Amino acid sequence: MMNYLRQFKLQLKIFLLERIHWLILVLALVLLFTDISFKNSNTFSPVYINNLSRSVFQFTSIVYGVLATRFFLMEVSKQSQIQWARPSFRVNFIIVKFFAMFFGVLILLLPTLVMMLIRGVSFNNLAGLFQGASIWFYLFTSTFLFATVLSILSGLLLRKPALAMPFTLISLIWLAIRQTVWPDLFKYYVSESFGLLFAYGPIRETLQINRGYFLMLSISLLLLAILIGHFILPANKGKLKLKNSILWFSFFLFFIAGTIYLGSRLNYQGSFIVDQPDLETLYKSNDVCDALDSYEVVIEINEHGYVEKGTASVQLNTELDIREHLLLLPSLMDKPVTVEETSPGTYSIGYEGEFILPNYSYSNLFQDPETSLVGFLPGGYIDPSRLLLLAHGQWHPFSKCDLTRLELRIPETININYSSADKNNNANRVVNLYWDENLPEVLIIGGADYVEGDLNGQKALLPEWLNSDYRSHYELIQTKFSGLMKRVALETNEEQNTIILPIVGSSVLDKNGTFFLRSTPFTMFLPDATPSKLEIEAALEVIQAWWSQGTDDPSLQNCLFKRFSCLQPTRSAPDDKSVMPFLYYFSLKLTSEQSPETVDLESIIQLYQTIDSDPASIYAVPRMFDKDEESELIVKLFQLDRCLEDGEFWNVLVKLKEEKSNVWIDYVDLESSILQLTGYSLERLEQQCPQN
Amino acid sequence: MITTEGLNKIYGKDKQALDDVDLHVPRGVYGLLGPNGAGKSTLIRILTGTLKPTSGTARVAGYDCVKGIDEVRKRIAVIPQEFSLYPNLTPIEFLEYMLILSGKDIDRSLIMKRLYQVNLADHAKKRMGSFSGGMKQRVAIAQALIHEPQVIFADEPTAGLDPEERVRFRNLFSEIGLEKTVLLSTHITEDITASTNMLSVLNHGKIIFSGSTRELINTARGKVWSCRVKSGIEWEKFKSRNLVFSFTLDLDNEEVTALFSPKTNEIEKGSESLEPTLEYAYMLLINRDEVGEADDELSQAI
Repeated sequence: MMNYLRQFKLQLKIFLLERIHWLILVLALVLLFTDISFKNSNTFSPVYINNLSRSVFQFTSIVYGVLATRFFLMEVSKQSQIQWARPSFRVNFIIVKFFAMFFGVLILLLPTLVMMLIRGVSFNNLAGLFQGASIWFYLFTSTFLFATVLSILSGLLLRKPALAMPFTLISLIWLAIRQTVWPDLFKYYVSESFGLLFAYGPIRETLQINRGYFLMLSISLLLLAILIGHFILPANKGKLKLKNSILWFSFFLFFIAGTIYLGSRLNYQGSFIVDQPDLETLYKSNDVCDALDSYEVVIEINEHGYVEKGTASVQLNTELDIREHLLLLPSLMDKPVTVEETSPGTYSIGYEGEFILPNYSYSNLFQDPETSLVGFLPGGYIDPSRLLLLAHGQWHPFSKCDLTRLELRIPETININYSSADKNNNANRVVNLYWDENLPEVLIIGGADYVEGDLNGQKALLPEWLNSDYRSHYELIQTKFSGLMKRVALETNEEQNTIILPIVGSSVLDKNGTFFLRSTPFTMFLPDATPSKLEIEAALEVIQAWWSQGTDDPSLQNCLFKRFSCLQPTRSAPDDKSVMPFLYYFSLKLTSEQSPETVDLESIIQLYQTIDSDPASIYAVPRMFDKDEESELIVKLFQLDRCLEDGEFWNVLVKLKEEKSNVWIDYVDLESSILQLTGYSLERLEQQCPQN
Repeated sequence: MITTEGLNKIYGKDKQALDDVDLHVPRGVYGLLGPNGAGKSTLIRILTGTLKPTSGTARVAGYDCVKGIDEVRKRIAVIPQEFSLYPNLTPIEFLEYMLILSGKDIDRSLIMKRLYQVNLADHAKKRMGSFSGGMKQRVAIAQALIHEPQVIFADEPTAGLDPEERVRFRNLFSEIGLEKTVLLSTHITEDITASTNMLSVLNHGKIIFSGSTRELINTARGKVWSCRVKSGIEWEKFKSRNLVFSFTLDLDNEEVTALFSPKTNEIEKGSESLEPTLEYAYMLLINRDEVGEADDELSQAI
């Protein structure tokens, strides 16, 4: 072992002293400094590091692959008899080279991480930096491990730099530029590694499998290279030793089995990830919902947690070809859907498959504009550890319609953490759950390791792994939620207010008044997470979740549910998004009322007033908007608020929610509604309210 | 120390690089003389375990070069004709690495001792990329000595060196030969003359001579002549009748003075017999197909 380490040390030194290898560092720094987000980052540290590392690693890994091939071949030629005639320069040559190259490029690229962390310090806490560094290492390890092994294999098989280096170059370029999705078996480079930390459900699962697969594949290929090397390298023609052979074979068996297993899992996962919504049918959903007199569903969940089998009974009040309205994804079906008319206007629909929440309904990634219009479609996602079934998920044929009755059969082996069922019973190791009419949004949460606890004295279902950071964040949310409920004058009930932590991507306020909090604190995505900003963002999360109760406009849902999705102009939302700064103002108002010592509303408004002239304000304000008018609106709302009686502006919010939360409110709408409700015009505030 | 019996190496289907090579190399410096492409490098690669023979056996320091190659490698070192010396390392770092590759502990005093021996102590901490060809060859010698091997294989070690370096190099070899077995493979006869009196000559993969340098020189006795010939057509005819070792041109008299061996049993008029050198003997040996029996008859007649 000592000999290995000494060889490694020398080879590492040779790698690092080779001046052409510094090109990797220079290229990485040039890419880093010229990346627009390096200077203009307004995002949280891990995402920031992920985005920067993506462009840095994509190019440097190609250059590195070529140089690594050259480095590997340094001792493979006939001119290296000096080394090959020595007893300790045999098969371990490949292992030593592998580690020297991998750690060599790690050392050369570490300055980029340091630079990013230094910049990250200015707008993040230590935990964020640690997460950012984790992302960097996730990206680095899988990408460069594969590039290293590929360069060894091409060097070993082609032997001549003139052949091996172009081969590595072409292979890596091909792998890097291919437009693929995560489940693709050749997707060696994953740009959204932060999903490994923050994503949930299939996204994280697929990322984990993808990274695991490439790790296994890389090590399998390395073991294969060692075997090939034994037979073809100049000094490796001695007899195979039994102990070494058994060791090699055991490792190879383990890693190749892992590669095959994870590869097949990845292929399987692909069937979920690549699904696209049936937009045509989705847009016709309202027709079928209006036509349903009754809509009852019985479904069975298997021991893996998938919605395996379902039977829907529908009663139509008008003539409609229901076959044209089925929203079940064909790729998730095992058998064709059977539709049977049991009596005039009454149909029975049978389906079998493995229905989970489709990727497009919660992912912002790789979506075409049309697909992103689908908006938030909470559904039933189940993975080995977590189960969430939402009323309007795509696990029943008319997902957008309200169910009138639901019967759910779930194996006893799945631990149910939360159920909104009206009643239940157990039979034959199956738990039967029943819902009759007025189904709430969240049906069941199960499988996960949640425990009952309390947040600020409120009963809550909490994950076992809850640490103090998360707990304080959830307590903050709970405080904001209670504060909002009081201000919007809603009757609250202790039981109904129980905060539960499911796996939803955005916080949801249920019809029953139960608040379901997103499991990944959005503050992790927050630049400059000062206490003030944390308070404001927590309040905004709560206000948007509350507002979204009355919304079924997909593009508005998209903006409300997906954090930051509406900060920049987007085709899926109208140009005038005045409702967003309007809701944001109330998050400022709520926090300044609840925590005046932390949030000074007046000074924040001053920042928005100077945002045009003072570039520093851009990063100082808790939240940026992409239009000047939207920043101006926040100032106007503040001025209006000062003219109104205590609590009057909260009433405006409640009234507007009742009347307009289902649609986008543009500035003209907002201005006229405010005028109608308060008598003040946003355009004439200076005259109407001279104290401003 | 080195023995081969019936050693054959065939590349591909029919390219015979070594043909039934029998060799016995005792302790000391031993020359392996042969033209380029004779099979010297192939033989050394087999003896150092980087190539497997097609048939036959080879033993170094008492160990078989195939079955006991691990033991062989512990006891040998190579000084190759061409080699890459990690330009960014210093000689000290390089020798440290060679010690590691030999499975030995790093010994700085030993490293410095070897660097003194090859007159590189003053350059011990300089990057080898800036070294001249001679300095690089001296590093190669130092690395060969660093782990105290019993046998050193030197494959064309003086190729590309200037005369001064070459002399220094030969002296080093002679010195090393007092303690170790050195197989000095070369096509330069002066290297052999200056370093050893025992050699084998390899040509077209075959050992065509084994013995002392004196014995080889004796084979050429009476076969080396000197003669003055008119340049032009006469000189052209002369060349076709004789194996010319060297010649000088006298422009004033339009004459050529040639050292040669006749291809037939007729000696050119006015020729003078000369004392042979190793180089002429070697030239005669590897061209014996051309000179042939006539030469033998001629030498007997004389």
